[in-house]
Parts: sequence; C-alpha cells; structure tokens
Amino acid sequence: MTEHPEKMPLDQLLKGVEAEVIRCMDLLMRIEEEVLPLVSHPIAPNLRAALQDIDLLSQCLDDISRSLKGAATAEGADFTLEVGTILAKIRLQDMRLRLEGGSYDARKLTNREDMFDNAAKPSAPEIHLF
Amino acid sequence: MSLKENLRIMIVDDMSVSRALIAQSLDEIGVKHYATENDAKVALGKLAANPVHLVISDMNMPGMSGLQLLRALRSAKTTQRIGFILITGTPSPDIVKEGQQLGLNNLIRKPFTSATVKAAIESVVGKL
Repeated sequence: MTEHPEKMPLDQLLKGVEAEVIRCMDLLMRIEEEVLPLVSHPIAPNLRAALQDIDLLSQCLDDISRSLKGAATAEGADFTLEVGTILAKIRLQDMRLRLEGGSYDARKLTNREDMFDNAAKPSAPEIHLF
Repeated sequence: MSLKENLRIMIVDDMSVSRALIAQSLDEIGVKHYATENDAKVALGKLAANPVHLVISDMNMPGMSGLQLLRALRSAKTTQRIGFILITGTPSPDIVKEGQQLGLNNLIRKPFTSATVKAAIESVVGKL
C-alpha cells in the first residue's frame, strides 16, 4: 500500500489537478479524431447532438485548467493543505500517484484492475475470479 | 441557378468533428460551395483575399475567438459586408450583446440540427 503524503502545498495540488485536466483534454482530442469518420455518413440526431458535446466538454476542461492554473499561482504556495484523506479518495492509482508527486504510466499495465487500488475503497469485497 | 448553388460559405471551427457536422448540414441543405478552416487567424487572411457571402464560425477557439474574427472582418473594407453566423453552446447575454454591437447576423445554439442551420442561413441571405 502506498503511503500518502499528509500535507502538501496547495499550489502543488492545484498544479497536479490542472495537469490531470489537461490529460483529460488530450484524451478527448484523441476520441474526437477517432469518431470523426462517423460524420462522413448521415447520422442520427441524438448522435449529432452528442458529438457536439465534445466541443463543449473540451471548452469546459480548458476553462477548468485555466482556473486551476490561476488559483495555483495566486497564493497557493503559502498555504499547506491536509491532503491525506483527499488523495485517499482517488480510486485511479496512477492519478493518485501523479498527484502525490510520483510517476506511474497506467497504459503500460496489462491488467485493468491494477489501475484501481482497493485500498482506496476498503468496503470493496474480495473477488474470486476462479 | 438557385441561391444555395451560388452561395459561398466559410466554416471556421477548431474542432474537426464540429467542422464536419456543420459541413454535413450544408450538404443536406444543398449548399455547394463551402470551405472549412480550423484557425480563425488563417481564415481572416483567406477571407481578406477571397471574400465569401457568409461565415459560420464557432465562438470559442484558441488564438482568436469567433467575436474577434467578426470584429476583424467588420473593420476591413473588403470583408465588412460578409454575413456572419456565430455558433456557440453557451450564448451568454454578453456574447449576444457584443455580437449585436459588432453586426452579428445570427447565432446558432449548440446542439444544432440541419434545420436550425438552414433557418439561420435563410434569416441572413433569404430563402434557399
């Protein structure tokens, strides 16, 4: 089990979350590229509306990342936050480790369950696959 | 030759899916001549060199927003009479007010359909 840092400068946490939002934007851009061929054929109205939400979601993420960047550079360096319980709630282990200041590339993993840490969900039942 | 066969339109949107959806709507409407551009600044240069009848532009784009593009078009003699339709998912009162001050011809709210695109174009250029 990973030891979570108990305290962290607020600006470090905000910069980390900003980086995660930018990761989400990159992921969204890859999704956009992959779904583009769908538009080469006539599509159902609900799919047309859903595809337009990609742009809206991209703009939302962009604005969130700008807000986080602004907040991180405002006066966050002088403020230390108790982050132990906050980071422990994050189920994506790779994200949590990045926010803690470590590095972890989940895409190198072959087992999807390794991306999640049951330590963050103590109530999760033990599963017997075989 | 009908109006929609003569009409020349430029689509400006940084998102490829959005550009394709607008283009698909124009195809469905029967507009024959349209170009697409993903960068508003590049679009501005192309429009100055070869003006079109109508621009359909996204609002939020990196580098230059839809309203900044509109302002730039209205400030140049060769482009000031180009029709301009803004597309946005969040048409705030400020956007509408600034658009009206800049001479915005119409606004399409996302999510749009081909019918809403057609109605917006017809309100600017007449029945297609």
